Amino acid sequence: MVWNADRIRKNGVKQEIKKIPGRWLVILLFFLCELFIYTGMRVECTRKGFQISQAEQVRKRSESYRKELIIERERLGSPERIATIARTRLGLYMPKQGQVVYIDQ
Amino acid sequence: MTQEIKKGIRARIIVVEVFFFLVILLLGAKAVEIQIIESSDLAKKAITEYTGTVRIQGKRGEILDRNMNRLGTTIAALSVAASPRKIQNPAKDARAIASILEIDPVKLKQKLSNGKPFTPIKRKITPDEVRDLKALNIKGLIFQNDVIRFYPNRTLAGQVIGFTGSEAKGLEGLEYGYDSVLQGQQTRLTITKDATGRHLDPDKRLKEQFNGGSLVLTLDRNIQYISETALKDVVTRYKAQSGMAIVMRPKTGEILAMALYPEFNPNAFSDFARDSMRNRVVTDPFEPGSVMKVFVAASAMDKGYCTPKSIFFCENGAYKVGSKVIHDTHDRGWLTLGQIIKYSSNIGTVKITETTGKQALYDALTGFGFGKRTGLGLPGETPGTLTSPGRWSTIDTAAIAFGQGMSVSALQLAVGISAIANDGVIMRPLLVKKTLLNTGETDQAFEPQVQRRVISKQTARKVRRMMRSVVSEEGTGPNAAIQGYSVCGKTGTAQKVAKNGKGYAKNLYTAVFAGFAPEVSPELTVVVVVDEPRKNHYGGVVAAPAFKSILAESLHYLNIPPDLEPEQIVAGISDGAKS
Repeated sequence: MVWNADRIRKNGVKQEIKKIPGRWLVILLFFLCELFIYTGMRVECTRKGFQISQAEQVRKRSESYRKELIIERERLGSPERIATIARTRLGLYMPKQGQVVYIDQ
Repeated sequence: MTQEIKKGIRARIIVVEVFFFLVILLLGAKAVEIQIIESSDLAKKAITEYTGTVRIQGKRGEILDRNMNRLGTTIAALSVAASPRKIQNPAKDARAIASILEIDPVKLKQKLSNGKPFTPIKRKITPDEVRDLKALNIKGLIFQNDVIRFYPNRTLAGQVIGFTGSEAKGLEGLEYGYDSVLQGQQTRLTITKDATGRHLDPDKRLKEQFNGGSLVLTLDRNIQYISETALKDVVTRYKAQSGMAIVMRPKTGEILAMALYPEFNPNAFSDFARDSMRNRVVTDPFEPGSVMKVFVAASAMDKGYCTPKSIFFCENGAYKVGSKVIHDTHDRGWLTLGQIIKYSSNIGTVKITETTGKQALYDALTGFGFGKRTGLGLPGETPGTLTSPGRWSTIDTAAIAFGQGMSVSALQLAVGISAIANDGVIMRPLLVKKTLLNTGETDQAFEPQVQRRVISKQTARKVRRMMRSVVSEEGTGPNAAIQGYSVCGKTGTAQKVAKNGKGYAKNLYTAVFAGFAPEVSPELTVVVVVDEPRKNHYGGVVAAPAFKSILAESLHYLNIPPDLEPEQIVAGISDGAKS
């Protein structure tokens, strides 16, 4: 008797389940998918944001380094330094009158 | 029984359905509340969670010479601060930090013990200091990005460029005068951040739009160096107080060099006295002495009072004007106007002004720009001193004629001499060629600007001829002669007012030499002023060699060939005390 009662209950549930329209399941599935896709996109977006930010940091560091090199070049090329090297290391001196030849004249 | 079971099951199903319906209804209602009713408030809350505002200070622009060499720029640096709440041993840490940063450990200990969440320690620290501080591994030390104003050429044009203060605000020179152009904008930017507060800022380039503009000067770094070197030599050799030199293109008014000695390093401005920071070429007036005679002669000729061959009796070296007696260095009798300039006769010049009258003298000097500012645009420019002729006594008129009893700036003198070189046309002096936007595009270009004609072309040529004779062996300035070039110039030796303000000091002089070359088509004007030279005080001895050095090297550098044939070359070496 008990066995019969269980069977009848299960049949009843199956019948009720069959009554749930398929479109609700589709909608539910759609929202679930949307949730996962949206979450995935946000995560990916944040990750890309970090990557871009890191790339920007690298660019900024490189730019800063480039600027430092330019300034170092300016400092190394300052007339005072060049003149000192020319005089002390290379033994050069300013040409006297008549020692300059203007070749484009 | 079956019916009862069915009824029971149906009832339970209905209960479950109602339950789920209510749950879904509640969820739906909440969704409507979130999405529609409270959407704007919640959106605002969300924005505050993942965005933040940061203060942005745009970088200060650069100062460049005419060949785009950097004279002043901004570089990245670090500042160090502390969070005293996190500092565990303030006394020990203060000693360690202070020894690296070379600051007072007692004051630092007070800072580290104040219990505040944040306290600044030192701005703009060097990379070595950063490395050493990080090696201490002190919890609570904070390193922040900062910027530093840097002048790669150190003392070169230091007083002209000026410097900035701690808040990147111009305090002197061009940094001060053009602060509005150079200064970066300050603003607040909204940036994205994550849950831990890290900035997600892919739009850093946005910051660049707040950077300041740049200045392109007319200065040439190499001519500036040539001028400063020559000036240093002369000031050192004659143990003078100071020196000034200016190099200008007479045809355009462009200033190629503005040199001062003693030098000033804007990278370490706090190490220098306030007086050495000033651009004295523009700010300080001085009595120019005999250089003014060329302006007197030019005006007299231009107004038809005399010609280069007009003769004046020079009273054999002593001439009484009012109660005073005026002397010449050499006793001379009759001299032509040309010879008065060549030998720099005070008496001859007084005789010229007696012919023209004091109003004509005043008109001549104001016509050449003396007594008013040149309009260069630098802060603190002096107009010099030139009182109205109504207040001149007879001796005042005589003294002003040979450059005493009035004062001018070195810049005014360069502009006036350049007018003679430029066929009588005064050009507005130019120091800033153009301003650039932070994108590098030209914002404003400053073209050479004619101010007025002060004398005719013919008169200017006659004056140039006279000034050429000054540099001959018989003139007062043979030390300024350059082989191969027709150099025109005028010496000046002025007594300085006594320190107590009563009359002139006996042993204090200003030595001046102003001139240009070549004679026919002058390319460069040079003015050299040496203040209080000791071993000798004559302009032709002290200032002329520096003038020659600056002019000769600049002509070579600019590839301006000699204009004289070998047989025309005038060169002379003299140690004679002439003025």
